[in-house]
Amino acid sequence: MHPYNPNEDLILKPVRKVGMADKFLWAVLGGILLLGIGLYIRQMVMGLGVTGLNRPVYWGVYITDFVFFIGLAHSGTFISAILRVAGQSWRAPLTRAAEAVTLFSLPFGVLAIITDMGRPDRVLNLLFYGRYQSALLWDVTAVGLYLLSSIVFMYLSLLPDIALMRDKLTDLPRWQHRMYEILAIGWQGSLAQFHRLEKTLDGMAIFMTMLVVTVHTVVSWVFGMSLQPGWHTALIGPFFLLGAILSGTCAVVIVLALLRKVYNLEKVLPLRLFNSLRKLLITFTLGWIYMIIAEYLTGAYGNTTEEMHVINSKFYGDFATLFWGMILLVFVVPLVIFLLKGKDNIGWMVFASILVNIGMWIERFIVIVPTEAFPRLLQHLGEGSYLPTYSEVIITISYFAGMALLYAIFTRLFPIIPIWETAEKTVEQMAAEAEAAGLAAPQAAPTDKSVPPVAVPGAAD
Amino acid sequence: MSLTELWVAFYNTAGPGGVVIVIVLVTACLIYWRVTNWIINGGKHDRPHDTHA
Repeated sequence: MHPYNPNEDLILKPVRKVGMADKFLWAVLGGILLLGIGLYIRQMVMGLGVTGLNRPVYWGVYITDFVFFIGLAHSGTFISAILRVAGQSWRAPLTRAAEAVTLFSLPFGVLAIITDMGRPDRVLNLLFYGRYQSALLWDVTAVGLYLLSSIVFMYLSLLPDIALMRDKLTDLPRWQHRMYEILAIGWQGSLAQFHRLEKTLDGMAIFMTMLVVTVHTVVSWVFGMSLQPGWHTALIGPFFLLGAILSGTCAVVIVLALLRKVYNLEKVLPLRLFNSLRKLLITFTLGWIYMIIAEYLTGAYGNTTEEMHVINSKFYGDFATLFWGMILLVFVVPLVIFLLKGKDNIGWMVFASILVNIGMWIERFIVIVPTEAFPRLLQHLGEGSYLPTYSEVIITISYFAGMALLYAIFTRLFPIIPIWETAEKTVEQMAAEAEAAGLAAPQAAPTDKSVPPVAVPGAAD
Repeated sequence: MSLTELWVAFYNTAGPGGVVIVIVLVTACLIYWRVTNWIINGGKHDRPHDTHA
């Protein structure tokens, strides 16, 4: 049995037909991705000399990308898990779009690390010779577990909808229908299955909430556990986390607005959802500026020589333009827009969200590079400088293109709005109505008999 | 070997760190596998009712 959703056809419309415009978009994004892959191969052949990385600035754009993409990945968990735990039912239509942002941004965060390595062939040394003394290993553990859990969390919440497509979209190409059969793993839509699914998702939501805090804290500790000025502070964990949730939620606003426009989903993504997100974003923006003030005031008040080299470079030195630009892009302009223009206006919300994300990328850069340019033991190492090369810039653009490509393909294969979570009548209500009408409650979906459900190996345990 | 020595050895030696990562990820995979089976088994459990449908 499938829950009754009057918007089912509308939500499934993008899955039914792939047009020429889609293929053109995929080709363009795929082309940019291939260009990035080509430049990466060139980097592997010629070495990291093709980048602007040097001594003592060992981490640049790639590590900025890593922190940024991991931050974006927090959107899904925030919308789906944290708001689920908080019992916010308005979040239901947004969950899958947000989870997909998580799913497709995390791999590019991981890729950014590998791109940054001079010897990527040695990546498995982490497993063979890993020493838990290193914060890098904490990172591999946390990010690996987060990626795995995000995939499972999204897959489980997709299960009823995959089964629905298996049962109702029988006119699709054979490979696609077969894919739904396999992925549905025998889901029948019984009451017990729905109960167990809800229970599992509730439990996982609590676990994911814990993970989301852990992951970005651990990411920040890659910096914070070293004794570098500007990094070695206990505040760096919550500072990174709040920035991640802010940029992730803004990414969801951008994605939702695009989906709403392109797939005509105004009915299922009403304006009030954007207004709810607007309130959250006002809170996060204020929280972010609080963290910035706490971080820099603490450092500047101590007035130690090493710390002041870094802070001065940001306030009125080489990085001042980027620093104050970041404040404008993440805080001043978006806050004014959210407060004065954002209500009932998706265009302004999207504009502000784009500014926030550009600003947040700069913020990651500003955290990483100035500290390396003015490192601890400056008198021995000397002042550094860093300017990214075109190779790094294009590879970064290709990450974004790759993420957009995966997202675009996903929206053509799976419903981007959860059908069962936004249903008008749940299976339980439908069963109760059937029982009240004097009929026996149907417990299983009337699946296509020619297509037996695929059983999970070991499911009979 | 005392517990402290064991901890220091674990912390400082190259190798055990990788094992921790593998253990964490494999354990998570197993738990998620079992949970997925448990959810799907909900349908099998109810199957006798299908005859009424």
